[in-house]
Amino acid sequence: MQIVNFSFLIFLFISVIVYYAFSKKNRWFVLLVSSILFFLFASSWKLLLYLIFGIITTFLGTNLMEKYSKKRKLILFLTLFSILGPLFLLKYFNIFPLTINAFSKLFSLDFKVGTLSLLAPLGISYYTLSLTGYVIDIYRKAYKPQTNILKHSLFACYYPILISGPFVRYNYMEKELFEEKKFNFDNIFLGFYRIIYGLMKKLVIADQLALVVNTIFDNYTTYTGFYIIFAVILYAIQIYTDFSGCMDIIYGASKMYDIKLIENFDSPFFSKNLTEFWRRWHISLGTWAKDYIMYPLLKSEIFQKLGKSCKNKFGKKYGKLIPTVLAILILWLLIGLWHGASFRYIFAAGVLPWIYLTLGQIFDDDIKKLNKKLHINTDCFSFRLFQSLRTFGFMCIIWLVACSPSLLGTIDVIKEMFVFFDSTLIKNLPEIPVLIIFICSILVIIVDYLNYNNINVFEKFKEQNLLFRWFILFSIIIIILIFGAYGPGYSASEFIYGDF
Amino acid sequence: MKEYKKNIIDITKIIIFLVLFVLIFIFLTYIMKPINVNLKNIAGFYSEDKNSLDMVYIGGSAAFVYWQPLKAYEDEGITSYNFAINSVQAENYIYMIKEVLKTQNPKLIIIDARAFQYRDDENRGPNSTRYYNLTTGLPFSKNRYEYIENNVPNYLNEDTIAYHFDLIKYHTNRDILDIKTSLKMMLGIYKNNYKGAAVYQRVAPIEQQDFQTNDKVSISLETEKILINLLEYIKTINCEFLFVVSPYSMPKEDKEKFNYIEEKIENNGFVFLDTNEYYDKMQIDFSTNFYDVNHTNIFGAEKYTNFLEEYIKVNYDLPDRRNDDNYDSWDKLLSNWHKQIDKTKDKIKTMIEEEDWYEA
Repeated sequence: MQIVNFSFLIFLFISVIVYYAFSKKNRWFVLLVSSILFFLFASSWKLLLYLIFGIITTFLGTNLMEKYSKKRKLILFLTLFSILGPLFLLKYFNIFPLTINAFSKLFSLDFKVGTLSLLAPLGISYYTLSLTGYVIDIYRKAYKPQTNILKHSLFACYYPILISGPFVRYNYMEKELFEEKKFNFDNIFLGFYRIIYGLMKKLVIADQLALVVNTIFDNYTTYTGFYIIFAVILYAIQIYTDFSGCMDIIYGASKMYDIKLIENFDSPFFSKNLTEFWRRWHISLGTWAKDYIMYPLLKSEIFQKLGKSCKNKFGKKYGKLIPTVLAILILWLLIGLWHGASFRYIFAAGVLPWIYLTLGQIFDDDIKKLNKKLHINTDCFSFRLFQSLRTFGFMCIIWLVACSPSLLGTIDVIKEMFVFFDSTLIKNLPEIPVLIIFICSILVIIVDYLNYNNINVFEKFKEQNLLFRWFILFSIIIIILIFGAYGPGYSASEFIYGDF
Repeated sequence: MKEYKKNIIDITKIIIFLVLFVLIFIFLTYIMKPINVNLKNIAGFYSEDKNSLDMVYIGGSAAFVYWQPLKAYEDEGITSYNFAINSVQAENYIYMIKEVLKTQNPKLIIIDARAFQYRDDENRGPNSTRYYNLTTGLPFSKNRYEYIENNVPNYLNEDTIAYHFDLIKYHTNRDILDIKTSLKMMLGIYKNNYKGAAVYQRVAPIEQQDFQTNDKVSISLETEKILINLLEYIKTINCEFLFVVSPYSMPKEDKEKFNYIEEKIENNGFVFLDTNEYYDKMQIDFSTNFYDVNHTNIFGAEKYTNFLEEYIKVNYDLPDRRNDDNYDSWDKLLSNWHKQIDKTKDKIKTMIEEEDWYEA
């Protein structure tokens, strides 16, 4: 079962009815049963064993840490090893044979190492990292561990977030999942609006654009020059509407249970610089990585020593900058690896963002001084537009690498970008409803703009007259039903971030 | 009390919303369906007056290209309809018969037996297009649901959702909308003016093969099971059944299979008629009466209809409805039918003169 699926909507509908049919005290139990059923429908009972293993080890680990406080560190390492081990083995182990094979190819050696072909359970990287954060929090004594294994299980496998996140923290989710809540139709309506909006983004924009993007990148030697630039821009829209559309469905589904999740996107394309962009894009991954990777690194003994040593050698500014830049490098390399066990992802989602951010940190003051010297008005619409376009442009370079067949293949794609293009080829591209996609994209921009200005569009929408609301809703539903990329003949229905 | 009232209003809103959604969904489903011969034949069947048909011909193109209900009415007063779709699959038959019996009480049902022979052919057996040929025309019902659930997972190994809800399959048909016809089909008032017959301006000379043999070659176990299930089912129905093979360029291998099928059908007490045995009596001319190896053209169809209506007259007791006032609407259709037939014949004659042969 996928989230963009008729079966999912029926499953959600039934689950919500059963949820509110139970007493407030026991509603969380319905969510647990729903989550297990969802996992079984979407995956298999064999793969459920991985999840059960992760749940049991983290449950035992966190409670043992509480009981045997002197051996907290040992228990922490054992617990982390037991949950990160399977993740590493199932998703990232292949980086070793792939590296060896890449070097073998580079030096024309007749040597190849086989890769592991293991099936990873649904949402393994999402639940593993959420559980990892929980274990670390318990180690840090940030809060008390959950002593009810069933409640602990629900935190680990709450089904709407199992496929594409967001990453959640236990102290936040505890209140949302287990607090007794009163039934309110408004939650059902708000959840429904959001699901419809998410389906529109995913099926009408992302999956339709995917047809064109995939055709161009699969045949980049034919679709050269402008086509590649065009495909990267479309990919930017595709990946955003795909991922954020998925999030809208997840938030909508959760809202129906009166569970409020922390937002994962906050109008990223309006960002003025890359730092802001990463604060607004996949927010939960960014905060997770900062809390559990970057800050612990900076506070570690090695980094403290490095900071002191750099301060002595290069002065105060660089004494602070060098350890930070190094910690950011490790952080981004791990984020790149999380996106996929390939050099392409490590470079696109790891090294490139790190270079951008580092250069930004180094030259930030100089750029400000330059703007001042050139009398550039930085407090006007045109400059803000320029900043947003510049940020978008930088991100397009990242997505160009991500779309290329491999890291070395990126060079070929870039070369083809500068080859003359044949304008007649446009008729060979898959036919997509351009006008409808354009109208829906405008709607997304308006919603994002309002959100950027702290206006909750869905709440505002709920306040409108019934006829207006229904007119808009049915218009979107009809657009989805007619222009959505679903059914036989379409295969792009899996979420891009569902693979990570 | 205030909250109770608000909840009632909200529930009412949800119900109205869902009803509107269902109506819109059904509307979109109908307007997106491709209007082709399959849909016209199936949809047109439901607008026939209740219990007005004495005979229904169920099958594939070997039925709707061959049997001309309006000619049979004009010649013998037989009221019939071709409840037939392209590349019909043998497993469709039980469900098609059930569908027929919902609105009609025919005295005779003819079943196109070629479906049992070609089903084992890799290129002509079950596939999604052939299943959609039927499901697209059938209105939502328990019978339709059972057809999809019993066959799609078994023979196609596919998810059934797109078969249940045609919009999933057809929502991309945005450029070929015929809203007026679609609406008529949705409201069940679409009339098939040829009673399910197809008239094509096509001709091609084909080779007549020597098929005569008494040998029997079994059909696959799967197809045989489908045949046996059908025979068991029709035994329970108070209606006469006739299994027919219409004329085509039949090779010996096909005849061997038909001999086997014939034996099974006759052993169960039903009549099997291979009209390929009667080329001379029908005066079939292989150089001008076909448009490909599997189908007669309008000239061949006329000869086939002449032969079969004579056979029915002799062997079955179907009433002559020509002087029945209840069937005036049939008389009104005849002039248009003649016009179409004459036009098609003229065109085919020219094509024969110019050797403008149809290529499948």
